[in-house]
Amino acid sequence: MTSSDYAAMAARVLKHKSITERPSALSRDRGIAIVAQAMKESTRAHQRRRLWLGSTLLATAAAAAIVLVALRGQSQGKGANPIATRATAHHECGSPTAGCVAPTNASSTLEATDIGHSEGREIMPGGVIQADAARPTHVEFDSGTRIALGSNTMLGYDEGSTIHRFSLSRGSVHLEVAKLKLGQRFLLNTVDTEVEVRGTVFDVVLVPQSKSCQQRTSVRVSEGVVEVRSAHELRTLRHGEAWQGECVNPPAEAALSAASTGTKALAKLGANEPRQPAFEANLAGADAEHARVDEPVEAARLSDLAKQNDIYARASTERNQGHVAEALSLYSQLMTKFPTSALVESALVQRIRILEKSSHTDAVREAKQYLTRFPKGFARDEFEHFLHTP
Amino acid sequence: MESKTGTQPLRLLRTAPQSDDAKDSALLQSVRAGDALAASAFHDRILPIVTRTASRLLGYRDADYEDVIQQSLIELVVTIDRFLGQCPLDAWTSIVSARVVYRHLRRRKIERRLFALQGLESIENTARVSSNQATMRLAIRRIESILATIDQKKAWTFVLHDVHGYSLAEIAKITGGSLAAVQSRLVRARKELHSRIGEAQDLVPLLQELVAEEGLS
Repeated sequence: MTSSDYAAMAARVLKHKSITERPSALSRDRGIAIVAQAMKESTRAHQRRRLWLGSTLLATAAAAAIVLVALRGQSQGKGANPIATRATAHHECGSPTAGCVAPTNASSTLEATDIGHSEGREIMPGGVIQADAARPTHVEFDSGTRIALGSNTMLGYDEGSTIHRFSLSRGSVHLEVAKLKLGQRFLLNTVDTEVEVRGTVFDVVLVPQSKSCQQRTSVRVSEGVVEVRSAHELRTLRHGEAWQGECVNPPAEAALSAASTGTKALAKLGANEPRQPAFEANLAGADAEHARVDEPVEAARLSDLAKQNDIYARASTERNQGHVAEALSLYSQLMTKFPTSALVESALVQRIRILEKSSHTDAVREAKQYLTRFPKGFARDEFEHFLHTP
Repeated sequence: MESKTGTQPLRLLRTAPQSDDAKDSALLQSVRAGDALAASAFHDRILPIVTRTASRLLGYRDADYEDVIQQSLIELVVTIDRFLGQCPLDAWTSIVSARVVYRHLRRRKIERRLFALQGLESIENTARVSSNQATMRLAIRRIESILATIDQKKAWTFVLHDVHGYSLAEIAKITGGSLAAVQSRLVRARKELHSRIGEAQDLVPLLQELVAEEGLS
């Protein structure tokens, strides 16, 4: 006897009994009404499902569009600290009597609506702020930093992330720089000078070329203490003092281009720290503030810092002019030659931003490197989002 | 009668009868389209199967008999889009109805019973009148008590398959399990039932007597 014989017998006994089939007490009309009602409800349910599906698709598409627009705006504004301009006169750019803000040809990420000179309007990095004759323009940062452009001045807003970088190519500016936080930098380039500041009030004037002298830079400090370093001298300027670059006989053709390149002299403006020992101390960060170095070592480091700034400025100029390969090469050069430089992070960030548009694979690789090396870097959110976006 | 062209006109004598499948297909299409006129035809078509299934699995004396029939009708209409015509409409109707009964019994926690054993009263209406109705009734009661001690899913699988003739695939649809699980449950249920009946010494001769008398072997 197999293991299921008794079960089979039980099943046969159960199966053998006939089941009484009593017709349902449900009347035919009632049954038909139930079926008809169910059909109606089913049809409505289908319609609701279709409507819900359509609404969901529409909502999803709208949400995706909003997210895309937001992300696009975020990526454009990432690392950029928009500034609000306040012009003394409200005229269109090109007016002979008004200050205005105009984009450079390299400011491809700018949109027309982001550029203006009306009060409350924002400009983005890549723009050029112009002040026409007799109409000085005031620029304000959210942080409280103020820049007053003298008449007939052209000031480029090159970079607006952790590093604020401007280039003065014409005229004069009066700056009141608010105390910067750790890691923030504020730089102003002229044709022959790079000025880095950490909270003071000073004036930088680009003295035009004359018959006897080439174009040169003049610095006047209103508050704080400034150390000015040029190729030939190192001077400390206290409030009320001024410094002017050496007069060099002009060449046949004056080079006015590339305001941010050719940095041969550096000026350091101490932020409420009258006796700060060395210019590079601030450039190298907080650690360097406590550094006490001998004069030869200090000179060597200064030389390195000047080179770093020079390479970075050249790379930024190339990038702004659309020379991608040159910019990538210079940023890479900076990272290779000065791996401990404070500018390495910025250089890497700029490389990734350029590569995002040209080589996705390389951008992904370098973005991963960035996140590994600078887990709390200022561009962390930007690149995390980039890596998670298919 | 010859036409002017000399050809015989064709005369329609009778049409070929429409097959049941074709009728069902047209009926289902109308129901899917929401044709109100199809409601009565659909009701008349499926109600006997629903009633039969509910009677077999639940028993007509059950308090929820009418409710289950109504639920089955509604379920059949609502799920009609899922019927792809891979089996006859009768089979599909039976499966859906059985599923409704199954769910209903599972929800009914206080009075959970095996649906195969609902109709003890029907023994009195046995088609082939047993020479010993008391023996039959006693045997069925004993089997019922044994099945009640087995895991309910296994017991349901056994009853649905071995008593009511549903296929494993159909049981999987009714109970919502996988085919492999159903098969496993069936094998285990048979083994367990065999073992339990073997342990009940008085039931074995009873079953043997019934099988011999009724010619069930």
